[in-house]
Amino acid sequence: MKTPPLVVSYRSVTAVLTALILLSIGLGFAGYGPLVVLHRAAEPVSHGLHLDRISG
Amino acid sequence: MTGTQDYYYTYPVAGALGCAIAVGLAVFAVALVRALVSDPDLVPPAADQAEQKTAHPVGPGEFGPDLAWPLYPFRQSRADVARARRNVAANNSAIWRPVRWFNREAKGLWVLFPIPVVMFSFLALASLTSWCCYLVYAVVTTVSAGASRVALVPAAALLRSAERVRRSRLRTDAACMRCFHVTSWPAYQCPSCLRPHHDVQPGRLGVLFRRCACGTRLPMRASLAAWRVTPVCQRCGAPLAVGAGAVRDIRVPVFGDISAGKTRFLYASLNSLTATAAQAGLAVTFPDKDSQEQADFGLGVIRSGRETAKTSTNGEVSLTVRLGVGRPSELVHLFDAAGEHFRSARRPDALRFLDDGQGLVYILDPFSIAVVTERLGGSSAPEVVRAHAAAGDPQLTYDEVANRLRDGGVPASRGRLAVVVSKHDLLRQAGLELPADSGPLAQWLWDNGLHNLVMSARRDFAEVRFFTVASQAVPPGGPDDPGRPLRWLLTAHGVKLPPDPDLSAGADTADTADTAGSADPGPRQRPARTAPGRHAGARS
Repeated sequence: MKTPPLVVSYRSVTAVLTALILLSIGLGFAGYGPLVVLHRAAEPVSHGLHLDRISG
Repeated sequence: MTGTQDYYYTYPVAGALGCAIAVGLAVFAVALVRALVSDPDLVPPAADQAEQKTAHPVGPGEFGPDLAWPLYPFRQSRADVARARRNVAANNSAIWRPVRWFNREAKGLWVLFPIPVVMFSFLALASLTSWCCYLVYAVVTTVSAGASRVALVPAAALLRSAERVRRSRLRTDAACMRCFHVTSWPAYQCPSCLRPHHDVQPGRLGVLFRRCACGTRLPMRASLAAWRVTPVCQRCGAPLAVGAGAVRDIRVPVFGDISAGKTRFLYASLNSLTATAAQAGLAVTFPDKDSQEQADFGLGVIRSGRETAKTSTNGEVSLTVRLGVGRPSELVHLFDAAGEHFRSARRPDALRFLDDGQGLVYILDPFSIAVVTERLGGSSAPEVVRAHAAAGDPQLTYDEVANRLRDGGVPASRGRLAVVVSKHDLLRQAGLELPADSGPLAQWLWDNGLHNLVMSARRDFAEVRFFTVASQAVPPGGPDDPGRPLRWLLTAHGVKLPPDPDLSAGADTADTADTAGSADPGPRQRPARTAPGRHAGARS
């Protein structure tokens, strides 16, 4: 019996979502999680703000 | 030195942990691919239907769930999660098989401690990883299915409500011409496997479309399905006209005594309606072959002025006309039966079409009125013989039908009755001229011995009008136009036809006279109607 296209689409979406979440978790454990990356990207800005505050 | 020694330990341990996690991911990946792609647990429509029947047993007179694929969030998502869980469990069981062997057959190897402990820890981490991955998949699928249901269920309910309102406003009840069953929701037949779908409306089988068990995609709303697939009768399975269930559907039964002129009126009124519609640029077509053939024959008889053959007692005449083209069109069903049936109208099931008529036409042969016959010189007078006068009492035929309607519980507030005095041209030739307007004509009938009939009709139906028609084709709008009763009934039910000057002019008097009783024709006449909303044929 042929699988309906809608079932295939739903399965693909859930599988891709699962893969993305697992990838995020894996990268997080490896130190490259989304929050860590964001923190590193914002580091120059926060460092500059910190310097402004202690100098002023 | 200490730092170097740390590397000796930490790098192998980290590598082993990474390998264990990779094995766990592989275990889950294999399980998921098998569950979703290579060996899925597909829930076929038959299995879903059986589950639904078990959960909601089908009552008498109800149809079971249709055989179509349920939407993924409603059933298949659970099956996929369950299948993935079984596969992960089976894969884990496979990777732990060496450990079981070790514990069972090679306990002596524990002397190699801590190697067995490292091996067990490796497998435990791999298993933990695979189950964590499964947990993520289960949560993602469950949340997705839940979110989809949260969106789909209200959307389906909204579309169902919109469809219900549209059907109610347009009065799209569909009539079957074979069994005369009238349903508000006809079934629709799959064009590929010819399987009927009895409940085509948004729900768990689909919101905009559904997929039949054979794989064919069908629209979920009747307003679309009626044009793309074949509508069929819910009761007998006969195919209905294209658009049935999506367009306005009006049923007009014609009744009267034997030889009263029912069939002739039916075709003559159709002839007039065709001419009226042509003047308005409205297409008149016949949606099925039988109707087309009957109309061709009947219109040919009327237009050539030939005699109409006696209607067979074995069959009924049902003719479907489509006014307009496509979605804004309307279906009009005209019903006729041999007069013999109306002499015992409560018995035969052949007259079932009377019960669902939205407007009835009663054909009254003036030559069957005793006073008229006597005035013309008796039943053997040449004028009476030439008119093939109906033999029965007009009151009896009316009473039979009215009693049938009353027994069937047909509400009077829905009923409109056109009392049509036929053969007026023949009567005129015999020297008797009848009034053209409804009120005076009712008074004439009252004065000529049919006061009971006039009084009963006004009491039994929500609205009654009286017409005279000729037995021959008459141009639309002319005197005795046989199309006037039909046009009155159709326009009363929302059909947009050109205004009928005579009908509009007489509307005020006829409406008030025949519905409210304010135009009481004489001192002998009692008020026209009592209270509205009683059953047709009900006696006070």
